[in-house]
Amino acid sequence: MHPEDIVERVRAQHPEAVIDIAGADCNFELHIVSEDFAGQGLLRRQKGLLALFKDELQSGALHALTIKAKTPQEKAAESP
Amino acid sequence: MKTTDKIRQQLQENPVVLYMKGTPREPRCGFSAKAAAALQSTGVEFAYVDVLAAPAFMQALPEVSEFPTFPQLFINGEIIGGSDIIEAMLASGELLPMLKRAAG
Repeated sequence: MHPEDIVERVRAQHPEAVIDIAGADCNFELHIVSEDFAGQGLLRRQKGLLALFKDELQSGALHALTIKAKTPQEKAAESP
Repeated sequence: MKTTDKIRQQLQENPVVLYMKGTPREPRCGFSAKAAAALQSTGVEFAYVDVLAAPAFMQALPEVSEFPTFPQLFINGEIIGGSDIIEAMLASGELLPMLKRAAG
């Protein structure tokens, strides 16, 4: 998959999010910061995002998508 | 027995199960390696299933867990997550007490 396609699909679900992606081919790391994740546990966040790529993950077009999903508050609390 | 039933049986019989690619000793994927290493670092015993050696499980597990990728960690029959989540919970100190409670 192309990283732009991944970002576009995530953007459609989280229009306000700050999205950053690294990696190539079938193995990506997605960094996403959005208010949408407030009140959601890690599993819920990942499930929601991975569901966008269900077909690609099943077919192997996408092997792995590492997801770091945070709220703006969590992001701000990280040490620089 | 259907594969999904076999999975449910495994989850009932084992408090901690890691479905992974390869084995903890010889992982066949970097993410499975990370997950197994994190679990091993806790010293708590866990069961594992090599989904590469059991393709039917690889196909059926996402139906049971509603989680599409591997590895997948289950504690007391509940999906906890993949390697990102396992590592985050190890770092935050949540993982060890959870495993200890489950393994009793």
